Amino acid sequence: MSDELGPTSDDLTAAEYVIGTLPATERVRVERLRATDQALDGAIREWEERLAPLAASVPPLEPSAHVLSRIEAGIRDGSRAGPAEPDRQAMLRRSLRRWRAVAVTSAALAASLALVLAGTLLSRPVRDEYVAVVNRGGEAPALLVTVDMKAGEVRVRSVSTGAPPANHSHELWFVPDGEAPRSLGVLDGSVNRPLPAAPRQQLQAGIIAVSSSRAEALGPAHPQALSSIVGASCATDRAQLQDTSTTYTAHEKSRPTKRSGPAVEKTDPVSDQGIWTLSITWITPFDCITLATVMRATPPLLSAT
Amino acid sequence: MNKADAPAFHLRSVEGGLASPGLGSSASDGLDDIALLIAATAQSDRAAFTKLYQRTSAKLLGVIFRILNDRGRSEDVLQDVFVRVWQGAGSYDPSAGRPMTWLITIARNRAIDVVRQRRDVQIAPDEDGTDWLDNVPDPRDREADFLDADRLRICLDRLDEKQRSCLLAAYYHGFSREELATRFDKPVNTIKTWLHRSALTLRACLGEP
Repeated sequence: MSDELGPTSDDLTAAEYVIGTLPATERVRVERLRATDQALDGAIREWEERLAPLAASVPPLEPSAHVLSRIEAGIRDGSRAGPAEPDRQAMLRRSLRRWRAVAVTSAALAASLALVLAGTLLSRPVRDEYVAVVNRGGEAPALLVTVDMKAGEVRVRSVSTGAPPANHSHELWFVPDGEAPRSLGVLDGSVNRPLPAAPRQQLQAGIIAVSSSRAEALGPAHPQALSSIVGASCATDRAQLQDTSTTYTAHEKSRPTKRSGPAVEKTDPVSDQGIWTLSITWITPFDCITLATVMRATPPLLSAT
Repeated sequence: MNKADAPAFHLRSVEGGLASPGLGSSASDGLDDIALLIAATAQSDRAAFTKLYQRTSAKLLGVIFRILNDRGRSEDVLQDVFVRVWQGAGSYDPSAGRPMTWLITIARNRAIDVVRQRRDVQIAPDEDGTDWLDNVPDPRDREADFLDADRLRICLDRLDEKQRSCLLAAYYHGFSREELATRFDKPVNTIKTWLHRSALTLRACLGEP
């Protein structure tokens, strides 16, 4: 459906996108479309050039001195496009440290929850590969998940030091944009699973998630895997998680700060299955990669604390 | 704009260290420096990145602040913008657009994303878009010169006055159609029509030889 907009309408959409008047949902849609629609992308760039003199005429405003130091701190331990393969392990370690820090700050919360799964998107050497660490309670990593778009597969490596808890299973999911999650299978140790047969664009709009289930608690880790859904989250500052029956939406409570201090906000009425809490961390902002930790506990667990 | 011989010249200029912004460099000089600084940033050159920040952060913060009208939040967005610039410098393609346009676009997009999420800013009453046009070509502003502000001003002059104000208020302040409808006391569809009409007129005018 690349021709759903005619040429003139395409150009007017591009103009409004650049002027900034498109409604948020339309804005997100345009951002997705332009990734594959060269004409639209070109029209947007042309409008950016046409109107940029307006922005250039705005009087400058000198930023406070601390802004630069915050930026420098942010890029010191942040990843950037194009790291070589050996860098990835270092990035993984940094990320895990970061996650431990986050887990400590939310320790009170975590303590009341049965299981905390954290998915962290780490490196994007090329846009074809995404790596996430799924860990438990901010401690030792449990799983290393690599989404390899080129090879069309998801590789899961179990990296736990200890034995996995009994009666505990992980399941891999693909959550297509706006649709119900599809299981890619229960994980038993290290496995490779093919990505669903779907157009690349559709894959990129979706989310790869790992859920962990026990008798009393479930918690899908929610790496907002790929750039277009991530863009959508960026546009609305909102992450969405779906399970088969309900859609949960979380809003940021406060501005994300460097490596995050995730704002945790319960948004939906307590479902009969338990409570969901979604926290969002913004890590590598160029693509608005977001990270969400999803924690869910059943009422009995909560009342036990 | 003598772009053809720019690369050789600016290569030297980087090696020799860049002059402070605005000190005795010509218009195209300063701007191509920005392109070079972006290129050096893409090579993980921290010093170049810092210079890029020093050259452009005040301008970008001005743009962001017009939209968010809150200094703290604007600086948060600026921070985010420069982290993106650091990470995305390699994706900047000089043949696809001017360096200031690239930076301004990142800044405006992020500011608009934020403002769409939550519009609780108040625009001062005197910033009502009446004298926007006077702002357009700022003679002290080398970026504005470089970006053909004169040409745009001539074309903006061809727009109906209200429609021009509407376009400018939207661009500068990041107003949504609904907010514009309230400000201009017109139905949302009228606002949309105005914007489209202005866009068509501008495109035709700017496309003229």
